[in-house]
Amino acid sequence: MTTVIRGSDNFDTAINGKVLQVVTSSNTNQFANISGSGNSSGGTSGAGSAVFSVSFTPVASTSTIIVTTNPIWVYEHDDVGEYVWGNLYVDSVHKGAANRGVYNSVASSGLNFGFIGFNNSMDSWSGAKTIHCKVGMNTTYYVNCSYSYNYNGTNNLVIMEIGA
Amino acid sequence: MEISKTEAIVSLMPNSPFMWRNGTLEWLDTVQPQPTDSEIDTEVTRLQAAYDAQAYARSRKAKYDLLNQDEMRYDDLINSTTTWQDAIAAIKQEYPK
Repeated sequence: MTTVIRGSDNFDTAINGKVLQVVTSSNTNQFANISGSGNSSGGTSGAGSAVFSVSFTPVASTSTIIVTTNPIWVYEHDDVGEYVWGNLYVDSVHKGAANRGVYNSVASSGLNFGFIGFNNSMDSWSGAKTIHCKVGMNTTYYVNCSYSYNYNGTNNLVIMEIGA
Repeated sequence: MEISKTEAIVSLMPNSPFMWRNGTLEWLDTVQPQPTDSEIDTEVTRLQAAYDAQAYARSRKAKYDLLNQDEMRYDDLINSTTTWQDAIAAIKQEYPK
């Protein structure tokens, strides 16, 4: 589900510091048994599971785009993972790694999990492009569920365009 | 514990990635075929039965863990009593196979 909120579609010039538009998206998607790799900095050349892939058309090419999500749950299949990571892409261009989560042991099984939340800003562009929020782990992993725990929640994305 | 379809699919196809897109199964494996709904449901039933069959063992272990068994065995040895054996037997009787 994607929602676009705009005050007006007539933006001849961006307004300094004002929110020009907001796009939100939410889903309950789960990824299971995904083969993961990568390093602790999250730079994995596009790999990972796209929890969000949302088209976004800035109203001005001079704006700043802010992307935020709730913390997204990533869980390992076997007790070999050391970290979770997230990457933000605009089309195929890597815009940076999200804050990576530390792992925590689950006392009953020793399996690790982490949470990745996106909180990124970047320069605007012209035309429609797709923003991808990808997450993963350096082992076989699950997103928004685990091997034996299937009660997923809703993940939410907010994209804001701020006038220059 | 209720066995999930995710667990059943991984049991059937341990090397196959997949996802649930807002509740609908989407197969991400380009080599191995997707199991049918019937196969998944059958596996859920099988795994659930296997899990349920071990209920007695989980119940016994929870009770065993409440006992200070080393001390009970030591005291029995010193006092020529059978408190440890009696306690274990009572738990086994409470949760039969």
